[in-house]
Amino acid sequence: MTAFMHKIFGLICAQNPAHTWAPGGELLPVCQRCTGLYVGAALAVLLLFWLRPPTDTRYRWLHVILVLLMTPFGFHLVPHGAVLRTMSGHWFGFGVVGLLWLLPETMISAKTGRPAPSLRLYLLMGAASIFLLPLFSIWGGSFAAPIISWLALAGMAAVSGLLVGNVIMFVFSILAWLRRLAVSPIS
Amino acid sequence: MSKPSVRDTLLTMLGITALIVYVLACRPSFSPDGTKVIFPTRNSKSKEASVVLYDLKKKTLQTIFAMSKMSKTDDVGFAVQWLPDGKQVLVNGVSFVAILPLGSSNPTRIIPLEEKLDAGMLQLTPPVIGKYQFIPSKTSVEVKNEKGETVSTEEPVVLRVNLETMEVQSFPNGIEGSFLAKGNQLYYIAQAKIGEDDAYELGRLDPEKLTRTPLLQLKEKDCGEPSGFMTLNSTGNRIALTAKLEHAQRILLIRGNALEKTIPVAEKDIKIQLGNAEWSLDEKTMFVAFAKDLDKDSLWQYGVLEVPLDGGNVREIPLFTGKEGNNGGLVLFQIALSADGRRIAATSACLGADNGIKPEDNALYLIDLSSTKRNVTRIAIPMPPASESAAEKK
Repeated sequence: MTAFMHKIFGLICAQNPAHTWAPGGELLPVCQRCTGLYVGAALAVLLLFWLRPPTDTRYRWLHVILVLLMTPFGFHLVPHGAVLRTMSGHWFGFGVVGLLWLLPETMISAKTGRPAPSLRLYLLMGAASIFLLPLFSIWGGSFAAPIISWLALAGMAAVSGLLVGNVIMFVFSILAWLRRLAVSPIS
Repeated sequence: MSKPSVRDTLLTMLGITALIVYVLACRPSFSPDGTKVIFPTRNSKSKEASVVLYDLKKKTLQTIFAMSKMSKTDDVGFAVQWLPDGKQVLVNGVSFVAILPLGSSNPTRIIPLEEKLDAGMLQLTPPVIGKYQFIPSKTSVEVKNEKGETVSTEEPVVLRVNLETMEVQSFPNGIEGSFLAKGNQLYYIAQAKIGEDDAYELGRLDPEKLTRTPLLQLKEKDCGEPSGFMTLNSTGNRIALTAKLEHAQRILLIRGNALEKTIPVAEKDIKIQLGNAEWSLDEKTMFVAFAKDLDKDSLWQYGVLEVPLDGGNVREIPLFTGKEGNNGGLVLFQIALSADGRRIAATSACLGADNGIKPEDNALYLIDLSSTKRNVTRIAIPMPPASESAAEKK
């Protein structure tokens, strides 16, 4: 399974061993930044499904900022080490998933009768995970390696699923628009 | 269902674009390790050595570094490797470390070492973790003997070379052996004693504090005498090392802190020596450099063994013939596996005429592992005439 994960992630990650966590001596299948990204994405999806924070203006601004905050680190404009590499990937993962969640959330009826929890709890848990992940990678030992690897795989699957879902919705929207164009009378 | 707003659609596109930019920036690019091969060459007569680069795409050979001997007693030889950025080449000599900027804008940097290394210290290429290279060495210290006289003795140390600041630090650590790295983990193999028995110890070394964490001790009488070559798998949780027990060659596989398996490679009556090894990407096969006595005209066959780890038949890929050198010449004949696992590179250019290599066999050998026949491409390297000085060469 480990070799399979290395192969899969090898398609989208440079897997630079010098920038890869090795909890308990076992190299993870993704680099430190991608570890943050995909584990962050997995946790973001979990929190979004569980907490269903309101996708209001504050939510939108928060996730745009999380995505844009990656710029100085992703383009190496500021020097940074392993921990910040993982943290930046983590908040970027949250940002991307938060934005990819917007369309599915508006398309699906959210009227369950349950009052939506505040954005605060979502933020709190997200912030805690940003700090916990690098600590777990450093001190988690051999126990941490499979957990992080599986979370990263789940995150990759979640991001892929959201991407596919969004593309399908785009296609349906375009088809619906074309259908409306076709049936509307020419004036 | 409510219709998605234009604003949400645009924000979603921002998220998708950001993700695409991220993935494109992080995806594996064809680093020079995939399209270029670097290897050392050595002229044992004139004591000159060089580093040659072969471009697999352009099919060109280019000498990128050359050095003449310092003195008649020097044995000039290099260990070479690409730095993780794929743009710089690191060259280790017995008295210096050189960083060559092949694809970067950095200048060439030469870091002199205060004390000359024993050439055997470069048997395993000194590993690099981050900005540090770790080189096993020895330093002279003065100690008092039983009679109270001051005598000079040698103590093992680790040289930690900062490749950015060019600073060299020396740490006494008591490890008389070799180092190996994977990711940010540093491993060592060192001589040890278990009671009265000769043994060797495998362990981890903290790259910052240089403290040792022994993983495993193996008695030579049980597991064999190690050749000094060891290799880590891609995830860093398994180690393979070649050893000889009662004249039979074997590969020892270590997982975590336990001996996982012993794989016999050749019978006792076959005179064969094993060199360095590489794991296949699927970890089902080991590729091992070998030299085998052909029992005819003092000739030895050099090549690569394919050893299935499930106990299947060992396959020989012969490359060239020569004479037996030190350790079967295997310190000077080592193999490397490409990052995509599809090609092995080996060269006879360090053995040279001194080890009976014919001029037509002085070459870089590339073995195509994707072909079932294991096709070998030979790139000839002009062999310098066996002269004492460069002035006689042309």
